[in-house]
Amino acid sequence: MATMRYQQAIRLAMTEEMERDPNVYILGEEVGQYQGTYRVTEGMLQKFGPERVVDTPISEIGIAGMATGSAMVGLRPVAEFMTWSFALEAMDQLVNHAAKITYMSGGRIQCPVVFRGPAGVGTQLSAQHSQSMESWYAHTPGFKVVMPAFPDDAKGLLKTAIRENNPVIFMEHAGLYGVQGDVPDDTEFLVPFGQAKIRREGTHCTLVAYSRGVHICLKAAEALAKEGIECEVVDLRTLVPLDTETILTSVRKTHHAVVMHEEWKNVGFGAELSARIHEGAFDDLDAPVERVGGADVPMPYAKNLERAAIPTDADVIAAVKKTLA
Amino acid sequence: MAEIRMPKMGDGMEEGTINVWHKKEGDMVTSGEVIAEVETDKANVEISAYETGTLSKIVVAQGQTVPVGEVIAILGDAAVTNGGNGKNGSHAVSDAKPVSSEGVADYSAEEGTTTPVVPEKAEPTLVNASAGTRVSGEEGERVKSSPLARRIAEDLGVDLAAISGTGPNGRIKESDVRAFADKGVAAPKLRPAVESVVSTVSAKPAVEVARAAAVSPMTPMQPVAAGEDIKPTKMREAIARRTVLSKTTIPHFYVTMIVEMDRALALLKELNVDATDGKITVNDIIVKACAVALGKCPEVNSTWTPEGMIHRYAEANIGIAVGIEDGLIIPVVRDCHTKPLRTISSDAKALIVKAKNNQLVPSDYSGGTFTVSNLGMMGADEFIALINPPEAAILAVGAAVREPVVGANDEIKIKTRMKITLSADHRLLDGVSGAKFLQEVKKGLEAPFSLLS
Repeated sequence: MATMRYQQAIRLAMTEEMERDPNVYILGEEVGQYQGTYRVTEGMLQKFGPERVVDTPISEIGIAGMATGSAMVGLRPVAEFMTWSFALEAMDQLVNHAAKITYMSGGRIQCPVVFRGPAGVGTQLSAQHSQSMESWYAHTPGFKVVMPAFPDDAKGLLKTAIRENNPVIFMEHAGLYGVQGDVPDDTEFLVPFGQAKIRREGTHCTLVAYSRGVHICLKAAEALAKEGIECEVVDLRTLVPLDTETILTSVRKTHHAVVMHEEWKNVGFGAELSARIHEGAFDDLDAPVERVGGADVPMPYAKNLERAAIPTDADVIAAVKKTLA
Repeated sequence: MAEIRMPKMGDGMEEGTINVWHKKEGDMVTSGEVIAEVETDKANVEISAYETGTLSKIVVAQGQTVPVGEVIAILGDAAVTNGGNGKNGSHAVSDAKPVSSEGVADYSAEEGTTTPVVPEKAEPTLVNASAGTRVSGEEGERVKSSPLARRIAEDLGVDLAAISGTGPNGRIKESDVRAFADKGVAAPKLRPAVESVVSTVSAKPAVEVARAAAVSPMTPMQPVAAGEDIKPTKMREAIARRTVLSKTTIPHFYVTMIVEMDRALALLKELNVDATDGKITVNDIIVKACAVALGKCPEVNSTWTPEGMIHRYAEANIGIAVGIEDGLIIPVVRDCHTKPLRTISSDAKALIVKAKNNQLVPSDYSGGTFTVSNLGMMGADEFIALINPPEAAILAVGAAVREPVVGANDEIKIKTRMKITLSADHRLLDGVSGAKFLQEVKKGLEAPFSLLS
């Protein structure tokens, strides 16, 4: 067990998997010589050489196409998008090719590719670079969608992603790269997909979140505990597959739920979570499920407006109190 | 082919009674034509057809009461005759069953377009079933409750209709069911409908508090002594709900003040010297004085909202309690703060005439922010009134009486004096603010020319 940052845990996962399997390789903009915009791939070019750490031209559609094609013929690419906002350039490769080829080939072609990079909002990156679009991918059949909140999950989930035979959307959070945590040294430490984790136990209200939302919910839960309100925080870890059962088990205990994410509230992943809870635990609910999400606007640049557009622990606290009213 | 349903003719309306069918089965009905008269808890209202066709089936007979939304009649195509035929498609009109004794149409499941009604279970915990207590969850008298509360209520054998909900919009929550089961009474908590004064929606929980308090579900009701059981009218039921809500959920306090009315009466005499179409009454000038006082004391023109906020109204809409046959109703004179005395008077007159003729429409008696109740003409010296939720206060006006008064120099003078008593919601007002309001009313009535500006 070693203490390391989220960003280092991701590097460790890739390093271990590249050492284990020669078919694993990295590609993306500035992943090699520049060692990654967020230093995630630091030292990897030196360690594995230019054949396995490939600096690409500035073309997301090229990166996604190359990754998908090479996965179809047997490699296990880990493609980095400098941010997930840039992946919009590659949407046709992602949605129409990577996600579908296994189905369209009747299962004869597998596509074991991982697309990874920073997502999430904040730090004044403004409308085009500060957005969280996980529900686009969760909505598309064929993808696994992974959004770790802690360093150990970042390692264990990325290793599982690299060994997964279907395309994986692996969304990191730029705001979490510096978060420290204990990470197992075990090279076989794998976190399975579809298993949510209870980050905090509670009896009054279930908070469902992922990625940085988990940290926001934990902060809210801590504040609420001082008022005698005990929240149970469910960290989804993977959106697809979704561990509905853990959510429902918690809601059956607390009878109240708040779902939270940074992406836009309107038609966001929280709507899916809310619907699943209503479908699966209707008779256990003592109040409607509350949703907390980002303001439905392109992210403003101005710091004060940005702060107003991003959901906070105060928003979660207000939602919890509303559902408990 | 169309179903005619019991319309909702006001926020508080939950059910209606068919007073009279103006049409019989087989009659042709044209769109807009009046087909029936319905009695609600507030008024008798005529129902018109929205389509042209043949009244192929009367589902709810005269005198029967059904919840809002229930099918009361079926309108066939113009060419279709009574009873329907194959052309009516799956809609087997002739199969529509008669109304059950509870006033609920007992449709068979294959009706398809109507919701099958769960037959009323014999509920040992239910009180006063003959007065129309309903099984919770039944169409038309929906009790708002969380799914969990419903499940627990079922497990515990508690009737949700008997529980007062403390959640948003009066929703019954798990804690309400458990509190009820534990104590037999739910914790009362005011949830008035801010926008609708005469709404019975908010009244619902309170009557159930009363029911619950009267007879705990754990103790079977004792047989009553001999006598006569009278089914209350809709209005009586509404009054019962509203007054229980008021007295059980609003912390009333009372302040009385004496007003010398000589100058006001003299002014009225002069104002009415050439009156052709109705005189300005004492009550009118009291309403005007209240409107002016409300302007000076906005805290009286307010409400305690379900969210626990104090809402101050922008307008002074003053209700006037009007006694009518077997009950009372409170039509509202709108925007009294902007209307001159003569307009208030003519508005009030028109509303009182409508009230006595059962012609008030919901907009006439909703949206009040303050109420005046006057029993002076009945010879009452003074009385205290119950606040009309969700308002903050009501003014009870006694008779103006000539009586001896000790003057400043110990001389005895004859004055015409009137006692007014404010009932006020202590959540919003205190003794001082209540007295201050009465002082303003008194000031206006004792210097009545100020009310003419």
